[in-house]
Amino acid sequence: MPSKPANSKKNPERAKKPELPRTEPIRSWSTIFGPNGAGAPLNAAEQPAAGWATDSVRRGVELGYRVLDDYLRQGASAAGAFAAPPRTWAPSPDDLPRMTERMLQYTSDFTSLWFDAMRIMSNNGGAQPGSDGKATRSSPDRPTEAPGRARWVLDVRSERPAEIIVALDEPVAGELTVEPLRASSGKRAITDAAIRPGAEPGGALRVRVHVPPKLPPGRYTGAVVDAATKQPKGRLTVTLAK
Amino acid sequence: MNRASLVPETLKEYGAICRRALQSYLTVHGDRGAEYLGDALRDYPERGGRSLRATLCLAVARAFGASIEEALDSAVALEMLHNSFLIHDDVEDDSEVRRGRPTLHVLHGVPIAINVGDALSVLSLRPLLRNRGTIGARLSLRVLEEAEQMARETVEGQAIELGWRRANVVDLGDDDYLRMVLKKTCWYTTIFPTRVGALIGSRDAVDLEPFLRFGFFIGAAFQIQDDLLNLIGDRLRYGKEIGGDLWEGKRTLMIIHLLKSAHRDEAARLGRFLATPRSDKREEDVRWVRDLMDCYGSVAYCQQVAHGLAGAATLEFERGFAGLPESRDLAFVRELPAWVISRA
Repeated sequence: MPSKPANSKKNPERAKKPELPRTEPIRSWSTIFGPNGAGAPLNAAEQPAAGWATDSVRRGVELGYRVLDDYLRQGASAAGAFAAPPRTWAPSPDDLPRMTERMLQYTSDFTSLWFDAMRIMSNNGGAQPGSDGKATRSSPDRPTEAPGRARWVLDVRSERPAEIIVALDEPVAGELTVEPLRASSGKRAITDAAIRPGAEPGGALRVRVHVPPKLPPGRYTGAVVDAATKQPKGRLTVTLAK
Repeated sequence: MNRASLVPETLKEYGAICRRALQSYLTVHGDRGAEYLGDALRDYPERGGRSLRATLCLAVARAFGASIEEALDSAVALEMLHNSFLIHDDVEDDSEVRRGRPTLHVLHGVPIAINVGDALSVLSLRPLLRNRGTIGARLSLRVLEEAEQMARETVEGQAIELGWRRANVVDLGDDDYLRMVLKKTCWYTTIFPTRVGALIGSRDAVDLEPFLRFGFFIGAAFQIQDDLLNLIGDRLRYGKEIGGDLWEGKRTLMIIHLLKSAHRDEAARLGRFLATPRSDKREEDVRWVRDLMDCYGSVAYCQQVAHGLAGAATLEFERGFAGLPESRDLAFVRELPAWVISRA
């Protein structure tokens, strides 16, 4: 008869696994780059005990994360302080139209500058200023009237005094379309506006602006577009005085 | 290319590209003070250097899929700013040697050196503006925002370190050192190049915080190793004066460890040493401090801390760069922590 197994129900002794020398992997920052890490100490006397080295490594990492987290927290709270508007300032309902007016003014100024720059470039034959600030091709000593430069004839009707500014990319040829001239606020616009090249004797441009009755004072501006190519050719601005 | 040579060879290749591009921004015309500015302006950039910052920027950008051209102007701007900082640092520290040659203020005097540093700093705006043509207005503005933060953090960090020296602050902890290094060194050495590389490469599609983390740990390890080399490095390879930091009274991690570890009398003598101007320090006192560091294991301690920080950088690399396709540039960034603490 075979003997009963040692771990039978009546035998309280059960087979056990042997005690393991370790229960988790050995991972150490100090050995991640090699047995002693690169850049070993100068001499044997400086070689630290393994536990001391691991503590130093761990300390460095823990401190590093603590410093970094503090830094990021400070950054987040500073960003939050900048994001919140100061209590002493709040935009009033009147500010928006003024801000929009300023935006349109800046846009108008920028467009003027852009067209001026394009005119200079086309007068210089497309030359760009060099790094020393001088044009790379010779430019005229003084400005001369380009051949075919337009003269203007104005046809303006308005109840209020009006200032008309026409900025066009010359040379002007072909049919032009003037988009409705709009102000920053209000729904009304100047729709009866036109620029006709060559409509006058001698090739002058005819600029017609008929301001509707009771149109509020303000700045009204609209694009001038080449009717054939649909490319912008300039801008027409009408400023109605109070 | 094997792992051991990947970092040095990439530094050499990208460094050469960056130096060629940088030269185009350093031409000074005759009517703009060329005779007082031109040669001095080119001096430090032409002395070489590892180009770690520029290379890191290019490599991260390429790892994210950008071309070298898209990141080059940002890398060049950083190198110009870096050289500007070096010139001013050398004046502030009264250093005598840089990259194996006399410092700029030793050669030309302090006023000209300061002005040349200012010039490099101001000229670094040009490549940043030129970015508009390469990466577009929106990304260029983002790079400018990063550059503004980097410059601000760097001067604040330098102010802290200079303030410690002026006020002879000796009650410092390791965390104080790391906070200072985060601002003074890490932002412009490793945080900015990594963040901007990722910004350009991903076209601002990724969160940049992981790269701040990676940049901090690898930058801090880099700085500690630099401070160690100042004590134990090879003079020719290191390029700066060996022991110069002790003469300058710089608050390195070794000095901070020594201040905390030494006996009271020794710490008091060390405090008096740190307060002494460079010109009045004696060689025997410098040797005494160096020997004391060996006695208290300050050098070994800092080597271990640097190892730990480099290890943390490796972890942050795995987090920040996860999912990117394998490439030589990605491998370069991966190998950087090990290189930083093993370089001589």
